[in-house]
Amino acid sequence: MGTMLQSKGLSPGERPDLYSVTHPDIVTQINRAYVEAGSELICTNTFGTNAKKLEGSGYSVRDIVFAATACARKACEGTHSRVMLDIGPIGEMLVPAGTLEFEEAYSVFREIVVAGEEAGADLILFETMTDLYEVKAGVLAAKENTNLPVLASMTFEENGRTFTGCCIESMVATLEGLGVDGLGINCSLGPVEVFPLARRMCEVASLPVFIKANAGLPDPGSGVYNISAQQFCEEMKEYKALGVAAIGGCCGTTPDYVRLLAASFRGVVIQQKVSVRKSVVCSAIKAVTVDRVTVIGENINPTGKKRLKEALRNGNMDYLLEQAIAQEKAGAKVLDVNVGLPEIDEVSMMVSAIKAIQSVSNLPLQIDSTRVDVIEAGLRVYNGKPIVNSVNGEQAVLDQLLPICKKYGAAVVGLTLDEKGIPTSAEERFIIAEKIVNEAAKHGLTREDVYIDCLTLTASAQQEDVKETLDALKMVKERLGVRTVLGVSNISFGLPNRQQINTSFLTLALAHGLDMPIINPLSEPMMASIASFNVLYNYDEQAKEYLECYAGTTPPVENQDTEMSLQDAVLQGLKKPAAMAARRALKTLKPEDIVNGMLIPALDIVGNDFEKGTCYLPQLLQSANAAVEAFDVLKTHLEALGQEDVKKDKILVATVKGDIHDIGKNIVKTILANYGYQVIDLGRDRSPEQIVKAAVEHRVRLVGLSALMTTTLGAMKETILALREAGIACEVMVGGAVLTPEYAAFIGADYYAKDAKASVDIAKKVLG
Amino acid sequence: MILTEMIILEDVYRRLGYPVDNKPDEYTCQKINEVMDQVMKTAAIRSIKKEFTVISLEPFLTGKDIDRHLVHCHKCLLIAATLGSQIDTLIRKASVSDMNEAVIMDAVTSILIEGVVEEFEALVRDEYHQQGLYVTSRFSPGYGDFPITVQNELLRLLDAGRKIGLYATPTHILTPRKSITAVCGISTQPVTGHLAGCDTCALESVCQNKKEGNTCARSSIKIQQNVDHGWRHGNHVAKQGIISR
Repeated sequence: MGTMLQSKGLSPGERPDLYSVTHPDIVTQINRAYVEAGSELICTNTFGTNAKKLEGSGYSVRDIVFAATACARKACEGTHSRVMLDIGPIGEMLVPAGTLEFEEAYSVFREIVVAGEEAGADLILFETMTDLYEVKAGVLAAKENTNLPVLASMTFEENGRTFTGCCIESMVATLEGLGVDGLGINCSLGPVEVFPLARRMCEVASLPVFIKANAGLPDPGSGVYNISAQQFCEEMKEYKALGVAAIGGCCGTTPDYVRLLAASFRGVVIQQKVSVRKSVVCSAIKAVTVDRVTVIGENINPTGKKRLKEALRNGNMDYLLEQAIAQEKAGAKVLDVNVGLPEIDEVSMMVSAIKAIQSVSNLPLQIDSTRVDVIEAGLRVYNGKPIVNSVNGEQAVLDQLLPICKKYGAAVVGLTLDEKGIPTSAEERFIIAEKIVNEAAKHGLTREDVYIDCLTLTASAQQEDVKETLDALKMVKERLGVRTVLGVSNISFGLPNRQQINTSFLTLALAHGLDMPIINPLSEPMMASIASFNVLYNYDEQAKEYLECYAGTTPPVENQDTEMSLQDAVLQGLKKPAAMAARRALKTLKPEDIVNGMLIPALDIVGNDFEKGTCYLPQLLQSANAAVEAFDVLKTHLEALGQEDVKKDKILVATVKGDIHDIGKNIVKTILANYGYQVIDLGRDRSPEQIVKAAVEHRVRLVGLSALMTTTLGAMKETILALREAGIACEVMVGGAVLTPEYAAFIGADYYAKDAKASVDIAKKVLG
Repeated sequence: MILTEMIILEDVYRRLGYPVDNKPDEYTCQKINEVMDQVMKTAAIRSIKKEFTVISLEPFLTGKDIDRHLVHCHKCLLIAATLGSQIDTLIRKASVSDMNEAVIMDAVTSILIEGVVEEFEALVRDEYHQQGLYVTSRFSPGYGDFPITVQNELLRLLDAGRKIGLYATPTHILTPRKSITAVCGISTQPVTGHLAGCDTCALESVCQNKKEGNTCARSSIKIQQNVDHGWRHGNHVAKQGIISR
């Protein structure tokens, strides 16, 4: 459409979408040219039509959608051609890359699709998309607010990824799950370059696949596409063998291209694609096929974890993220996320946790809760195809959860228990598993997406039943052909040297057909057991992975105690010696005295050197890292004694509305935390309301605000004003590159913090 | 061009706050190398350019400084480049587990995108030179009195979202974060452009560089738009968007 409009007089800076209102005849004429060329599906001229892009144009989304649909309808008159409501990217990046919230993206799309259906479009087409999360918002908006069929097409580079990193397998798994009617690839490349990508898509997709390639590649200078209609058509012939359901052209193509295509493909019977269904879960970036032992990390679950509970109560997302990253580094392939604590708002915590974890980790997640509302809220904001943990054989649970899993396209864990509890025998557990698989099928979930958990019982209490779990596992795997999942660690509850029992049980379970052990991936013996299993069962061919991991390594010997003082360790930024020195110090001193008498004085020295310019930022932060190791030792010590942590006052930090610079704020947070302050980090792009709310909630006496741009200083001023108007008895410190002490005073801040060191000095002054 | 060659280590040191001729300690140097490896594996560098007549861009070329820069130019070139959004994820991830690594990564990627644009600009200049035309140095929104509010329009004119996945927030911050947009003038006579001085810079009163008696236009320090300095870390500044040579 764009190509054609430009040939009809649209100038480069002009918005093509407005032409449907200002020059409806031209738009209809172009639509008609495609119908006459043989297009059975034509696009409305609405690629850039959304509330964000139309802002300031003087037209509403409705105006444009109605005008464009009318043009297309008119062009189809008297033919069998149908009208697709064409929807392109919103034009802003979603959080975390940008500032557009998922929920807002949903609203933007809802406005378009509702207007489109009312205006008389036959189908909805999302195309040229690069962000899977944005497509999900669009597809949900379309499915929930219209009855139209939905097609979704993304644009890939030659490496098979979109600009935001989404891969073909993730796109297919996610969008098939969400219930679109067709999947496609368009734009970016010509037929030759798209071909291998199309083949990949056809291999993994069960839905119809459509392709709209560009007319080759653009000339870097002139931007003109390099292949003719004949060439295009010739190159597209290859696609017949793939079994694609529909073809067309994108940038650079014209009705001439379509005319040749239509002639060439006329009468071609679409081959039934034979795609092999696999068990796939994914984030946008990473698709995991469960065809090997796939470790699910269990550490984000507050049960029995004091520090995680505390982090959840304080909304300390950083602690969760640390756990996520540590598990990923240790080799987990999926992360279980359970944030259930009776005293917190589990729904909003699940939403925040999923968004935050997905902003730093590409691993697929398993959404774990006993509450349906929590699971649904989590599924809604999840980017990709997750696992739901869990349903069981209880009819009411199945009836409630399976439709939700189906709607959001999730895989689901089924526990072999029901109204009557956990049956003892393997046979009875198998019967429940069978019921779950059948019920899932009734709701449209295929067995590739059902993972059965035969439930681990505690060996110390029900020793005779341990073997039943293993037998059930084997039966389920062999007779139902589904994937299996099992929480392993429960086996050793109440026994000494738990890791030993856990590892042995894990090995047995793997041998009985366990696909997805839910374990602590930081447990080296358990990960080693899996690596060994893969060698022994010939999954790890020629023991390549095993050798890569273990060849040339000798079991690590802890560094000899260097006797380095805590102060020296912190000054030199050495983590292990700092931890060792802290352990030594604990033999004679109280944690509080170690903090105040050793750690803080050492940090003061580094801070002063930084201020004087004799030490630099990386050293300051490395010392901070070493101090954190020492703090961890003290925390663990106190925890073991069942005592409270050494804590100072709370400080709230945030980057203000509209600004997404947060490195500086994060440095400040790190250094303040070093001094024992409890830093509540609200993140970036935070509105005055959000900051006021948190300041009240946490009763803070000091708030730190960051802004980096001259254009966001206004938001800083508004935030300070809002804090004052709310009558909160707190002082405000501000920092950021464009600020000056004078400007800080001018916008009503109490303190100007020129750097992280200065913020500590201010905190000491205000809070002691 | 090998990517690592686009990162001038001296500039990374300076970004981290080390004074001229002052090399960081061994640990930090090693960390910088590790970070560079990670960055090279993750960066998805893309760039675009598009030519316009100066007249057609007039509504967007606001401020005295850009006018001065484009004197004697009949045409101009919009350019944009990005390291891609996975770099942002990498930095976010590092911010959680090791702030030191995050800060180093931030510095390395800032210098890298600067190097990428430098290289791109040189290529473009050569191309034009072969046609007997001259290209000024590049001038970015946020430099001098050229407001960053034009960012979104420049991206639209470049169709940067579709072509290289580059967008701006409603507050005109480029996303992915490690990205640059700029304007170069094209002339039939030799031109270099006129980089703005300190007097119109947003950071005039706090700029460490200026305190040391340098200007961005003269010193070897490269300060560019979209640089994340928060509470002025280190002893030097960022700004709402400067590009210097």
